[in-house]
Amino acid sequence: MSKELEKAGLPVALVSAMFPVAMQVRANRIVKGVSIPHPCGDPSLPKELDARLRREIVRTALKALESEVKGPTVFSPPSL
Amino acid sequence: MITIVHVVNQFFAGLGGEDKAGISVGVIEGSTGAARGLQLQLDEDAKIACTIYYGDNYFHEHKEDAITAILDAVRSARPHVLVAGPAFNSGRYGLSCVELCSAVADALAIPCVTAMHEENPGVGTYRDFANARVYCLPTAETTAGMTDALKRLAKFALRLARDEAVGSARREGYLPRGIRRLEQAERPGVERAIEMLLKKIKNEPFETELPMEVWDDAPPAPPLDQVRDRRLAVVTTSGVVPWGNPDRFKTYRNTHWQKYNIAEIKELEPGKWETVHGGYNVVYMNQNPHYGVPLDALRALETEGAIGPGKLYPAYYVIPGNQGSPAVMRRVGQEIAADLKKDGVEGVLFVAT
Amino acid sequence: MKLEIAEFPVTQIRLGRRFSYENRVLEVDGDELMALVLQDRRITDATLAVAMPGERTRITGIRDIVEPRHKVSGSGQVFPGVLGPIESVGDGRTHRLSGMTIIAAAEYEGTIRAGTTVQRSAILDMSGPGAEISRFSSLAHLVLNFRIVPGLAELEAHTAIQLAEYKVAHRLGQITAALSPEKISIHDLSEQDPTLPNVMLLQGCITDPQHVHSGVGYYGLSLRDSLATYVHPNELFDGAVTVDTTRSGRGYYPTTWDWQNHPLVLGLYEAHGRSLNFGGVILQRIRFETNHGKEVGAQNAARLADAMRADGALVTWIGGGNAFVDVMFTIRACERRGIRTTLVTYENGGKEGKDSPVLFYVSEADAVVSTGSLDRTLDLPAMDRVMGPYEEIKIFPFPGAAPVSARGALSLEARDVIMGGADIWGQGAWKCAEY
Repeated sequence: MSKELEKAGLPVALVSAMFPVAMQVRANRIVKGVSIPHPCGDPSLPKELDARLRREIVRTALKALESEVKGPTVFSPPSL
Repeated sequence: MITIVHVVNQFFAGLGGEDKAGISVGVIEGSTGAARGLQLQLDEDAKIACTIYYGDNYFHEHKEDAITAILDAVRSARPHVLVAGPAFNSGRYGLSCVELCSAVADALAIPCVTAMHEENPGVGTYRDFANARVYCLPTAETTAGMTDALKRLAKFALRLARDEAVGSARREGYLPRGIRRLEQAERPGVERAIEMLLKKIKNEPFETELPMEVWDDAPPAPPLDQVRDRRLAVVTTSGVVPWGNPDRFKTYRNTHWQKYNIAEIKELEPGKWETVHGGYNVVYMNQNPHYGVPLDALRALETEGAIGPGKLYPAYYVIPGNQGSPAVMRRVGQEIAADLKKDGVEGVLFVAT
Repeated sequence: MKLEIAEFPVTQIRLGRRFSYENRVLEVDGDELMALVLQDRRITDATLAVAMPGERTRITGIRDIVEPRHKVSGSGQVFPGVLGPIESVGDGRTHRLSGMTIIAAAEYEGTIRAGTTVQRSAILDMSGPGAEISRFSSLAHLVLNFRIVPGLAELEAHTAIQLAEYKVAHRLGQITAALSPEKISIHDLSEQDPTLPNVMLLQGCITDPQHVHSGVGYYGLSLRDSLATYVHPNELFDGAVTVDTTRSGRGYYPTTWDWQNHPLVLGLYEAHGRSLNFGGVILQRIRFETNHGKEVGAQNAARLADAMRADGALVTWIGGGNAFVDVMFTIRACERRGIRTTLVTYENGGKEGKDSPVLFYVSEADAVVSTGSLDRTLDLPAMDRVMGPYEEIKIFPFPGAAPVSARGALSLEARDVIMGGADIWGQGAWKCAEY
């Protein structure tokens, strides 16, 4: 589905814990998510750290949107 | 009497080479050029009502007109089956054969058979179309294989014309279209598995029943310049929806998408949202929908200036992604893309579970 | 560990006043079975019925299916850790009533709205297109239909259902205790031929972290985030591996019957000493939720197979979705260790078979046996008789789904609502071919 968005000319930052699957289907800007049931955060962390991790993931996504890529590329949030 | 229409390019119609690649669609009664070879193979079993030709370049430069003209001609001739090619390793020709066959099969419900070398670029399109009425036979790389190709095309065309059941690609020798059909094998899966494993262990040849798929590269969309000045939207397959599931999403195999307003909202309050999805443990997402729609983080980044004021699209898009058929997901992706572009969105944050 | 399985085939089941088995006819004392089931106060009501192949009967609300068995000798008793004591099983002699099952059907709605733990039950048609695709429609069934106390949480409901069906299964098995079987088959792996390759069965088990019962039990203990473990195949025959009855009612999950009659285990036993040495079963927990977990789990399973000196492994799994990634990683890890693999799996691929048949590939998965597709639509005709708790059924499991009449014609999007809808482990001859 994200590939259709990209075909229409929209850069997509895909946040997913299963980045091997994302790479196989050739998504181009892949942001490593935490875990399948909670990609944008970690419920085992205290609330404030979880929120901070989420901001980090979103910041990484923004960075991915600004980056030139040649093919499937994984962007890792620094804490992951 | 079985009637067949044979479609060929300008060269195989005997009208000329590259110099005539721009000629438009024409129809000649009976068989001409390569079609004569086909009629020879068909012998008394069928008659080629007419030969349709077109210039290779013309077809690709005026595709809509070319296809319309071909459809008109085929409609008038009312054949039982259509034959196109063989195209061997000619890419433009192979591609046009596949495209015109697909158009005829869809518009007129007439079965079609074409032929080309298995590395012809047309084969990729043939597999993409996965049209159950269109068959492609493998040929040699060059016209040295013409007689053989015409012989096999004739045989196959007759079978299609007679509405005979056609078996699997492996059994019948045509190029597979990637349509997988459910059927009964001769032996139970257990036996086939043990036999396959033993062959593999002994380094003997075996054939897998599930060939691996290769995904197409999608050229990356250009990066955003100064992302804080860009309009961004969130799309998710996590299944986060307003409490009560107002649009009746299923926990699997959804076919529609929705967008939900987040305009004045700073964060997603638990209790106002729920998660509809059968493919993962939704307990966390229910407790904190931000794991799928990170609105709190997006608002924080707005405050600090990493995302420009008013640049976050005032709604997020969702379709619960469990067991979604790729064809449906493709359509949904296209529809969401159109909606996003209509509203000037320039980049997407896509959260997948 | 040598196990003798003594077979007593059943072609007819009669509800009567005594327990007897004669000339392949099983008579059961309905009252005594009811009393047995109602001992558990969580069960408020129960009925028995018989469903035979070919009848125009539809059974609804199916949670699990189990084969009657009873150990007459050897250590422990069937369904250890659930019904039987926690004692090792798999040796001595076990009686089985073949050709029949007990179907546990119960009304239960569950307390969870969505997610992977939404409780599921399935149906079975004894004739027609629904019967053609299911391995269960050719068996005779004693249908145990009961009602449980309302408001029970999932674990309580499951335990009540499972204990009831296993008690009945064991009681029926006991009918044959003093009788002579028609056939005895021997299951013994102690003789290994050094000239033959060693083959393990690598059984992926999806387990659900969201639930108190994970979905796969071993001697009654839920398999959770476990690393791979070796089990002797004879343990499966004696019911050591069990299911969560509130969630096993679906076409692509195994029932207790499937574990008791595991086709790949039976096939490997058949080939043992002839074309291969059967090295045993590795139970591998799959569906780890991070890439990290999937990799560690996969490599660990491969390492265990290697330690068991496997030359090859038949790999199969339970479940759907991203658990398949674990399976693919496992195949890659095995192949990289020189353990050749062959995967047995069902496919998806959409209604027309034009979509991806599976979620994910690794290049090492070059030997795959397809057991057919789950995704084909199916139109079921109206039936004359409905058994089980539901007069109306929901064929779409989502909050707010509208139910349809269970007796009438049903239009199914896919086969997951039919028990046995997917040939999960290759028992049948289903496959998909490319067109």
